[in-house]
Amino acid sequence: MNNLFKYLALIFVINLWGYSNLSAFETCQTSKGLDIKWDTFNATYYVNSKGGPAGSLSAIQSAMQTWTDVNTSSFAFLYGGSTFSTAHGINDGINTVTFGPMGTTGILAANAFWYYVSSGQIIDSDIKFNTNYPWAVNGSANAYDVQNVGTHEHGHSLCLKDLYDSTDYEKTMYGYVSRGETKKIILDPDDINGISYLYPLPVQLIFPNGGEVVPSGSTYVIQWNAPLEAASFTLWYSIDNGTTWEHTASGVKGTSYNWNVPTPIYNKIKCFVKIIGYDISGIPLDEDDSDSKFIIEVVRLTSPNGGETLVSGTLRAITWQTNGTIRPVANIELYYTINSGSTWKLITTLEGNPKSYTWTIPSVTSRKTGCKAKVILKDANGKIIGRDSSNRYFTIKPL
Amino acid sequence: MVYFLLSSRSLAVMIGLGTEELTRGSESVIIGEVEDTEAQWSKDGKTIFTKAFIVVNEIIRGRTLQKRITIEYEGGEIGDIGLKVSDVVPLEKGERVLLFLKSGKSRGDGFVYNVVGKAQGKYSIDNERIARKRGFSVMGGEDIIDNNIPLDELLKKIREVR
Repeated sequence: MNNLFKYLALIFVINLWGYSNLSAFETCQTSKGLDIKWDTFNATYYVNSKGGPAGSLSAIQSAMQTWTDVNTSSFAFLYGGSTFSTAHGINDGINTVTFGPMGTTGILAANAFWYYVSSGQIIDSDIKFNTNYPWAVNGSANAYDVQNVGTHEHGHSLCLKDLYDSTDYEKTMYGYVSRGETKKIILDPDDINGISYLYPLPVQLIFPNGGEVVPSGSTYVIQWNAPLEAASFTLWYSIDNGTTWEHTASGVKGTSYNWNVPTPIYNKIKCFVKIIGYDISGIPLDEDDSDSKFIIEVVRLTSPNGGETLVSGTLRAITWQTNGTIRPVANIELYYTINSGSTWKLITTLEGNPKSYTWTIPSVTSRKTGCKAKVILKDANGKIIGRDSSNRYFTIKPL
Repeated sequence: MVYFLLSSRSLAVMIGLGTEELTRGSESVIIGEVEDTEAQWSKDGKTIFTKAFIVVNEIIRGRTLQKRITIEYEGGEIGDIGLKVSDVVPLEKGERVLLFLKSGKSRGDGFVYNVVGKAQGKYSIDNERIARKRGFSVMGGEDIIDNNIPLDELLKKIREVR
């Protein structure tokens, strides 16, 4: 996110709260002004709790989980396991939380992190608790609470800075803490805005995300998740596997849209939706497509749909369902094949769209396993406006 | 980094790094301008430290031997690699600062000055002569720390320290 985005996000946050003089979260930056942050959605820490009070590991895990649980951010701290390492501040690509003496010069806990200057990407982050000072995990009045300080330090790991204004008092990133204090284990809305700014939820399409069968001509609710700063969205769809995209809507607010599904000729089995999120200045933030193809279905032959064994001379209902069509259905043509689609024979032509027909199974001289039925919708001019066939083969055997 | 103010107010023992303690812990207090900075690898190649070259404009207390002094602190950027340590605030080229200083051995060669209390011992001075400091976490004692304070008031406090 560039500085303009950050500025807009801060304005958004301030307006959201209805304050004009409230300070807001601050982020670490490189000398070039880039936000320093992880470029992945998670960071794994290994913990050496030796030297800390009993229960330190659990307290540190809880501190990490507090940030992970923010549901407006995509970021997660992961516990990688215990370690015997006492290395701190070494650029070894292994993120550690350790306990150890650091002297009595006033440093209670330290967080050192390495990053790439050109991108701001964090590449190593280590936290160390100074065991020259007393620690507890129960909020003891005479010691410093591991989870309380750990939550604050992991805020630094996200690259949130300390805050000092009196209005920041309740925040986890407030720069002053005291013995017995535990209030930092609960994030303030500003802390949540901080992590959400640095690690926003992506624009994420939920429906249709692949595998759905969407009736043509219907109203389908497209749904998505998006970061707070995404003010509007543009929607597109493709019926040709993403080769071409048709515009659906622009300036859409919220996280859903009632889509008037098109009425293509024939069922479309390689359909995708694309969504692009924009900030309040109209600058694109993020986009997402359906993870895999979905179907826009004009007509579905429902029986025989494959797997059946039919006997020559007996009766069998051919049934089908139709959705919205580009023009009214005037006639139905029904076909069948006994040679895996090499040739199709007309069963009958029907007026209108009765959606069912009683078929006399044709005579065969030997067992035929490559059989399918097909329905074709035609308009008043005899043009095809929809078709479907059995999904799988069925069998016709002699009487 | 959570920076612990050496205090336990519940026991009425206050050994904090307020202005008085910062002053007493310093060999000198100066106002100067950051002329330039230069990050270097430590001798063992495991960490980065930065030297900041300060032109001394005014000596508030104590003395410095030279008009141009060198400050050293952890972290910095070399090429595409950067290191930040959470209680250290970088000195920025062109910045006007008030610093509480103590001499020490360099991580490289020779002797340098260190900022007492790390980020606590550095005030940035803006055009309205307001002194501000940031970049540290302190265990209690926010009421004894002078921040966002008029420079003249801060100087008066420093000079009053006996």
